[in-house]
Amino acid sequence: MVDESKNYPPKRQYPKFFEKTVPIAIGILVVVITGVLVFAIGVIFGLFNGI
Amino acid sequence: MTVINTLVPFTSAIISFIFAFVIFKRYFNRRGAHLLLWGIGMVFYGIGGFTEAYFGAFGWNSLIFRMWYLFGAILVAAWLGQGTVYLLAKRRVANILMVILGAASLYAAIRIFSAQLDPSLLTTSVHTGSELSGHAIITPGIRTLTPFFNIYGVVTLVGGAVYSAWIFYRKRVLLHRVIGNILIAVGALAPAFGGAFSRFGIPGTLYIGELLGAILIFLGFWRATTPMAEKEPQTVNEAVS
Repeated sequence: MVDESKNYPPKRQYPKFFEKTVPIAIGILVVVITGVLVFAIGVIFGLFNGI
Repeated sequence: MTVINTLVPFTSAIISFIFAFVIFKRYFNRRGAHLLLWGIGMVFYGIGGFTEAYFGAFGWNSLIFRMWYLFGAILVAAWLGQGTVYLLAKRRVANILMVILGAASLYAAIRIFSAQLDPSLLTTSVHTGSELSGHAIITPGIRTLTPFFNIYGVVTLVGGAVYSAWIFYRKRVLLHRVIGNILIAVGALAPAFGGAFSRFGIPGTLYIGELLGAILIFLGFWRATTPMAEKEPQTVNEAVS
């Protein structure tokens, strides 16, 4: 019987804490960036007050 | 004169200038257009903080206001972001964007230094009036420049940091750069949130956001450029054994 796991390099992992928190942080940042961009575009079109 | 309107932005300025010195030192040792532009961007950040502190301590001054609006409100994010463009994009693309940014910055400088100002308008709208704001600019068409620069800054600086963090995370390499880039992204967004709270009439939030931003970006840069002492990322097999 062939051990298939030997055909692939083992998957690398960060420590558990970072494995969980990094994608959440990146996801939140993407949402926030989108919000800030929508706001900035709103300022250009006169929907909000700029600086 | 209050602590929030003077000491907070003054502290931001000191941190920014120290950070700029660290980046310029690194630039002279290693070269790289990204380091030069980040250094220039942090000098702009520092000028923004210094002009806010001056306004808090001594009151209105038209030159100080113009410098604040140009460097602190318009150019800082875009120039920091241009550094990230040099780091991530092809050199030719980065050079073209640099020429456009340089020309746009020059145009903005000419418009701002020839604008008519009315300091009594600083308290208009929901703004607190205790902080500097572009409401004092009477000449039309200048304040509409700001979102274009800031959109470019958000996409390149914050987007670039998040993109870099994601690339390293996907490959599960260089954890310190993942953490550093996330701190830089959060720090770069902090002034935007401070400004948003300021628009809701909460005094001092813009300056606190800027101080937090300067600290987080500095920490992020330090983290990203300093490898962690801990072990390299584990493999799945190692993790379970």
